[in-house]
Amino acid sequence: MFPEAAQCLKTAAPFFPKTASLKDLRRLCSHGGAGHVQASRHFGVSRPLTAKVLPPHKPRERVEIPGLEMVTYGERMHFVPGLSKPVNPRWERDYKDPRYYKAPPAHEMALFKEKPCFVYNQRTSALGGLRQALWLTKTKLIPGLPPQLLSLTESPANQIPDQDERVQNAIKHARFWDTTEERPGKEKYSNTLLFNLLHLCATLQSRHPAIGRRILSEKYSLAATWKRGEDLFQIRGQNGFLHNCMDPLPEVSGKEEVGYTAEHVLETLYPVSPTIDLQQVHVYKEQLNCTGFRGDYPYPHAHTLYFLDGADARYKLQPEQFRAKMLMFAFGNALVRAHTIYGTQPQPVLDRPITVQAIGTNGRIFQFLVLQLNTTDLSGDDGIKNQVWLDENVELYDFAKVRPLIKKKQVKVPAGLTGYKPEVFSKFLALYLHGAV
Amino acid sequence: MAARTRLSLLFPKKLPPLRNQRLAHTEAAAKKPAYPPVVPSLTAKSKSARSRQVEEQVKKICDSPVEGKLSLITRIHRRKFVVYPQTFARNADRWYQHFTKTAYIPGLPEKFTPERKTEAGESAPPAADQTTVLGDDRDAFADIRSLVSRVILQEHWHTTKRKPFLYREQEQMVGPFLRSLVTGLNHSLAKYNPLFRLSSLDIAPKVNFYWRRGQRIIPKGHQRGRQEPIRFQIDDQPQCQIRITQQLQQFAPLEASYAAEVPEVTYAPNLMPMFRRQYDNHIFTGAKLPDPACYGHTQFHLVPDRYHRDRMARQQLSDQVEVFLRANALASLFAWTGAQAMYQGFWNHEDVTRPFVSQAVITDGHFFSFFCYQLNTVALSVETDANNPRKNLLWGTESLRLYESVQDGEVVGLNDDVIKLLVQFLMNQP
Repeated sequence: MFPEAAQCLKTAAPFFPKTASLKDLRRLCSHGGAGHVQASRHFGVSRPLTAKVLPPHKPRERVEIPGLEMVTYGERMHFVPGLSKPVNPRWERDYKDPRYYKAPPAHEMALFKEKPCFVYNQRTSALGGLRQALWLTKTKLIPGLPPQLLSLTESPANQIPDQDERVQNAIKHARFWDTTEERPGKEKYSNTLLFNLLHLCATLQSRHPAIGRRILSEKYSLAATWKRGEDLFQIRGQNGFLHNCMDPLPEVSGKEEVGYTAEHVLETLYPVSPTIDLQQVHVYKEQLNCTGFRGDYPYPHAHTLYFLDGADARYKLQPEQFRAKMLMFAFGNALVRAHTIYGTQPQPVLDRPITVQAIGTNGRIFQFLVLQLNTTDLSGDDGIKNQVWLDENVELYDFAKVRPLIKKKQVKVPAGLTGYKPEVFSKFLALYLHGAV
Repeated sequence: MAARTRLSLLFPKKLPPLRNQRLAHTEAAAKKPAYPPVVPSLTAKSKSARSRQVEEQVKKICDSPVEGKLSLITRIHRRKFVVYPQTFARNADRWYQHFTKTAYIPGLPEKFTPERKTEAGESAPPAADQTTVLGDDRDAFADIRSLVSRVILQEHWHTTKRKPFLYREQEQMVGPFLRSLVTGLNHSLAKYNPLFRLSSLDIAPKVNFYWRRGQRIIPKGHQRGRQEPIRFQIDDQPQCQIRITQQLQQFAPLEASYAAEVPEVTYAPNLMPMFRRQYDNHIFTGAKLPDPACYGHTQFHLVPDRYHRDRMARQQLSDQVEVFLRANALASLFAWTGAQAMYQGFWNHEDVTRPFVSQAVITDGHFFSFFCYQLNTVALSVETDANNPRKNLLWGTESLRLYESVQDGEVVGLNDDVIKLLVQFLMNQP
């Protein structure tokens, strides 16, 4: 049941009889998102539906006076006016029943710690956006994708035959042809478009067999821990699709450039604290690092993460926060793998920087991100920083309309796909082929 | 007609020479009729008027383009039986065979039978065995085998997952496995099967089909006593499917289906049990008409928890497991091939000129069943079925086990024959 409905149930329980409560309360609590509550039947007319919900009734406070024994009606086995109610010792079930389990308060849990930990999960919408993410991960932002990556698709061997036509067909399939209705919804088409583009890119496997050494995994739970300043940070959650690879990605920038990042100064969010909007928890495991896979996984290296903007309609993120999420989870994946290779002790410089890519889309607008993890020593603000190349808000096409937009009897935007930009798919393909060419 | 006979009675002998003259010289220039043809009325309240209306409608549909045909055929909504490919009904495969005029042939068509492989055998060069499957590369099969085992291990061993909720096990554990397997095989085999480079891979697409078969007498209402065609609708959602731009070759010639036997069920469809509803009539292959990949290659279906063989065994329905798989393949593939045929403009009154062929693999994670379907006729309604000797054909295997279990990061008991058959299925090309 919806949590709001459960709350209403608790508050209204003493007033509404059980028979009517469940169905009618769904009607009463008008829920913003799930507006498809069926009209419930109301046959009985002897009780009102729209009564005022009174606040919960607190039981009278029992005063214990030391030395004074309360005379109760417990021994007499029936209520006697004037005597107090007997207090029975708390009864605990001697076996474990998951239906009737009440969690102890936070300070009584085994993993409770005084020092809080700030957790970034898949629903976090960080106020500082990308700047906050850059500060938290000690990263330097370089706008635009690295040139050696973009040059990958210039040679015809790395291009798909009839590329433009096939990409346009893929977009039309995702936006128009995938449903019996007039048009598919945003969640559906962004998902289909991503899979269609990946399917297109994978047709190059006959030319570049290294593409076959990758696998896509859908629901993996990431967990990474690091210290920044005096605070402990964690990234946790299922965030999207991950392309795992048997071979690591080559590093994007050489040792010189990595050395130059030491001079870069991170932008602070003063007066806003960099821990804003992060979930503060006191019950956590220290040194929690989990890639989402256990055992001797044949694909240990992370290649690309794919994020869908409209995946969860309840937790929609603004573009800035979406880019921050991409950066944080790419960083989390890189950090976890650095911890497995180099150990959990902070390393000022990694011998082989770890590169992770991320692509985020809402079905039309793409964000491309390449992160290179150069250091795991994130406590201080100085020293070598990590690098991120970001290409933001690139539109794959302008409009994909089922019916033309007509204003004042003039066709402003025709029906069908308009404004297709081929260079955006070249960037997608370049990120896909990186490491396999 | 009456005028002509009267004329011949009046002038019996003078007509032949005139007729001969006409035949000899003026065949092409027909005598212009003085009056328009005498046909039954279009708007009268008579049976001949009704039949003329039907003829006009049929002619209108035949003359319109494919989109127009589809919209005219599916225009009117009436109550129809909703056929569920995955059903709890007993002996559903016999019922579905009757509804779709399909004959079931156990085993696979000659293209996939193991006899060809055992001829190549072990004494003759085993490379010939592999050449029938994958070209010249022996290592290619080893690669595919290792890919399959890695995919199994990823889903069942390596990925940290929570214990699946009640009746969500197939969806959470086997669904991703099947999707990864299909995508992995599709991409690896694109090298050997050039069709896949232009193919389209759909994840959880919708496949719908609407058709009419048989007649019933309306029991009550203002049309009581009259005949009404029985309408069916299939709304299917396979786990994933591969659509291609060229049509696959037929498994058996059209004439071979004349001898096949289709079981007849004399009971009304609602006794199956099957229920009627009235809503949009959809005919859909997985993508709309303008999509270039309009022909089907292979569908992959997942057996849900409700029909898993362990649960069926608990309900003492172990014999229905194979029946369920057959019914599922039959309904899904009939819907898919039927929709493909309709997309090419063939319908009830314009029967298919070439057979439409598709394949399906149904699995519950451990057991795989392979099915091939050949659609020879779409003319299933009462008017067109009277003199139609063609039947649709379904070939199918029993369930074959892919692997025993996963223990300590290793797949135990991986069956190579099943992998070979899967690869053969995917390598099917015209």
